[in-house]
Amino acid sequence: MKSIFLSIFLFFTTFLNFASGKSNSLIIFAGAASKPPLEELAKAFEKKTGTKVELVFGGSGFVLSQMILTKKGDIFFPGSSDYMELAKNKGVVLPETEKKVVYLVPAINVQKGNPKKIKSLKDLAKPGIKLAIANPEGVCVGLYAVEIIEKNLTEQEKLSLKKNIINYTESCEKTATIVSLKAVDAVIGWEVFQYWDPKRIETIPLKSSEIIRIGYIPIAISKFSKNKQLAQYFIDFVLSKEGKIIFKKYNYFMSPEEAFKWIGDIKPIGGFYKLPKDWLYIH
Amino acid sequence: MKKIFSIFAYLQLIFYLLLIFSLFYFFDLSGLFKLIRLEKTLFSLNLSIITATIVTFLAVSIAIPSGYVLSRFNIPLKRMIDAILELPLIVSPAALGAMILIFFNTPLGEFLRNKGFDVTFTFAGIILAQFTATAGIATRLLKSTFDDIPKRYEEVAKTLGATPFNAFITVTLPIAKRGIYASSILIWAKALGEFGATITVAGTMSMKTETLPIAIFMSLARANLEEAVVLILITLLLGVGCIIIFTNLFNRFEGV
Amino acid sequence: MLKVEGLNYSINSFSLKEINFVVKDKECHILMGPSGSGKTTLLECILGLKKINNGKVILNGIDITNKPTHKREIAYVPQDLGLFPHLNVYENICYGAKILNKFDKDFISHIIDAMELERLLKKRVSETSGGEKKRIALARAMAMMPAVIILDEPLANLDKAIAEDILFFIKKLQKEFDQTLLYVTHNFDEAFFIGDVISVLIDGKLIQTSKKQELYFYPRSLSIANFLGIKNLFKGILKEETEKELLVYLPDFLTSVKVLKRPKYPKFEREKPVYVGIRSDEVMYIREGRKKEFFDNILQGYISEIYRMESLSKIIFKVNDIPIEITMPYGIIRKLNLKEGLFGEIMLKKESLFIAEF
Repeated sequence: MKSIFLSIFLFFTTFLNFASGKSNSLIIFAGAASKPPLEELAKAFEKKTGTKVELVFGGSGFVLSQMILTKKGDIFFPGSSDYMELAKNKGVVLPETEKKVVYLVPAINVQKGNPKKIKSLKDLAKPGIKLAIANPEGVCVGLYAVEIIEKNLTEQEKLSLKKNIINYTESCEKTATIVSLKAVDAVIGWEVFQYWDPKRIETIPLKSSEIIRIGYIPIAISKFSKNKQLAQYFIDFVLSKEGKIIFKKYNYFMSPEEAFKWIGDIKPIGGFYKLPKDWLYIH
Repeated sequence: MKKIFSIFAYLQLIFYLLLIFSLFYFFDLSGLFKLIRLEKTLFSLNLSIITATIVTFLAVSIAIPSGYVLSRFNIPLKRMIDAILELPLIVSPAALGAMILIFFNTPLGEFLRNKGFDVTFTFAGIILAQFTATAGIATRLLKSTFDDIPKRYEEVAKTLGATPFNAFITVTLPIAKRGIYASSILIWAKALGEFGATITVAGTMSMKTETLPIAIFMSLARANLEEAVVLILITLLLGVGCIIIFTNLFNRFEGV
Repeated sequence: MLKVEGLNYSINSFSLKEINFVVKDKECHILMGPSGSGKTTLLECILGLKKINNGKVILNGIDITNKPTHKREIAYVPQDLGLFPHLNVYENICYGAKILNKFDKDFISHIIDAMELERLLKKRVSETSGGEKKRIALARAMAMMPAVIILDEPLANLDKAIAEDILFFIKKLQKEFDQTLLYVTHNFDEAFFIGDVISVLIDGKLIQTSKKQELYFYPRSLSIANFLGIKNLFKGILKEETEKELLVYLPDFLTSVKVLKRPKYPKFEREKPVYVGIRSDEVMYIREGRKKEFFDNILQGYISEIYRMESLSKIIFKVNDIPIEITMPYGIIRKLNLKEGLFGEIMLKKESLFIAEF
């Protein structure tokens, strides 16, 4: 009998210990798309500083919900800027700590080998093309796609293209996966998608005039952090040379200049675009 | 002993009630009304009810003969069938959805797609996903139902001149009615709540394939907790309401 | 007429071997045997619910061996009755008749009358009593106008009073409707009351089929004798056979006895080991002073024990220290002044002795 009580007691104290979170560790809520580079970064940071880094991955909005509900977390690292805006609106991150980590350029992504021979934005309006974009209401890359379509195509072309949209994906990652699974012929996503699944995804660049703005992946300290100093160290690490080298491995644009070079023109970074009502639903 | 066993039942009640009442912490009444009137909410509600009903009908229709034959006879490959019906329970719904998508990537799948059978991101896709997730369970439930009906009734019916099929229709099925109905309600509830396979195969497009569970997920994915709470409450009301209605309907029908 | 020819059926470790018997029209044929002897299995084979390995089942001249159950037109009243819970009493009764297109309103009314079920017709089966359920099952079987009705232990699980009632109804069925019955039981009071012919099944083999009188007095196998509760069974060696008699040497008693031949006895071999038996109520105690010239098979011994019992009292009489059981009314024991320890003589009438060779 005594031994049972003892073990229950030990169990709870250990459990509580873990639950309270040691002060020498960090919890990062991150968008799933950043998994490969972030995991490497976390390992490097651990090695360098001996701090344990726990990563919670998922859809950017989803992990934001989790962060809010669990009131835990040191860093918020979503897949795109719109989720950081959302987090700032909800007051769950410290806006002054926000930094831009890497830059994202919208592009057309097709199945490797480009079986439907898509070469340009206009080609997406051709009849018979199966197209998808991310849900413009919720996902940054989807909103950017709508802007590109609205500002570059004629009414006629817009209508044709809209007819080709068979799905709104619910996240950034899903936009890439849907090409891997060959469920569509093309998506308007980020140019970096082809590096996420080089065997199955190919990027077709948009004309530089067609690109309206570029996106970025932001990082900020969460207001729930119990160790803001440590969190700051991590962010500094991410932006350091060491950090940048890791990101570079994954083919991200490390600076606006790199992105502009690739596009062939200078573009605004982030910013606001109001979604036209008729894009709210696919019909 | 009754008291002690009841405690376990009550603990469950308290547990779930606690979760449900917690929803009101994020509850926003004005938000509720706004959301209810929103076209897409009504659409999701409608879509969920319709797809769940169609899937239940399909799954139970297949499950009745399947369950019967598995209950009464030792057909070849019976063990393999039994094992494979476990599949939807073991493999997560998301995995099932992925399997469906992957199938459409195979030569056979491609062939079907070209023939116009492309169900991804369509209403038919929802049906396919929910069906895949529930058919196996439906068969097991109905097999159980038939297991509980003594073979004796069919034997006697046969001696009285009924062909095996006639015996099944005039004797076995009527006796199985209650069990079939109860199983159908379970399947309907499961189809209603189906998420992983549906979202993978049919996507999340509002006003097209956004069922209630998917709408809830999308709210969370946008960190809109108030909306999520309202949708959850709607789903709960729908589920509980329908189960009460269906059960009463059955009882009235059967003159119980 | 129902004929079973060379029926063989086996499953796992149990088998029915070479079953042969005939149920004549209007006969009440009893199938008797201890539990586990295969009675229910045999019924299921006859009904087509189980597939036989080889043999034939012939009903009214038609070979039904390969016919599916629903075409055999043999009614079945199983032990658990199988009354349909989802139909009321009347619907249950008419079920078979309707399916087979033999629905005769008057005939069915007649049956309902005979089974006294008029007041129960609209009730659900669950609302009827045990005895009523049995009558409903009987009515349902009758209603389809079958050639044969098979009844499997119809009196099982009934109180004595109700069982007697039901037995009466079954007899009524047989008489009033001239219905052929194949009736399974392991209770021989029942068997002897209602049966005409009895077939005994032991361990999957049909040992004997005889009219009930014959079986009662002249069982052909040791197992049947044991089954009938016959205590007096003695080892013997067949010595001689004449036209009408058999001479058997009983080593237990160091003497030979004469046994009257029964018509169905086969030709026996000399020196064949057999069992000789006699019912306890057929053993005659020879009164002192009785003339014995025409008596055969007299044995000398003494009364070892006397048990006074309700109907027939029991005397254990030892001959050469081997016990022989004699039953007789206590009145006679008193009259003859029989006491334990008394020396005396008994006679085993040659027409009461039987040979059991299995």
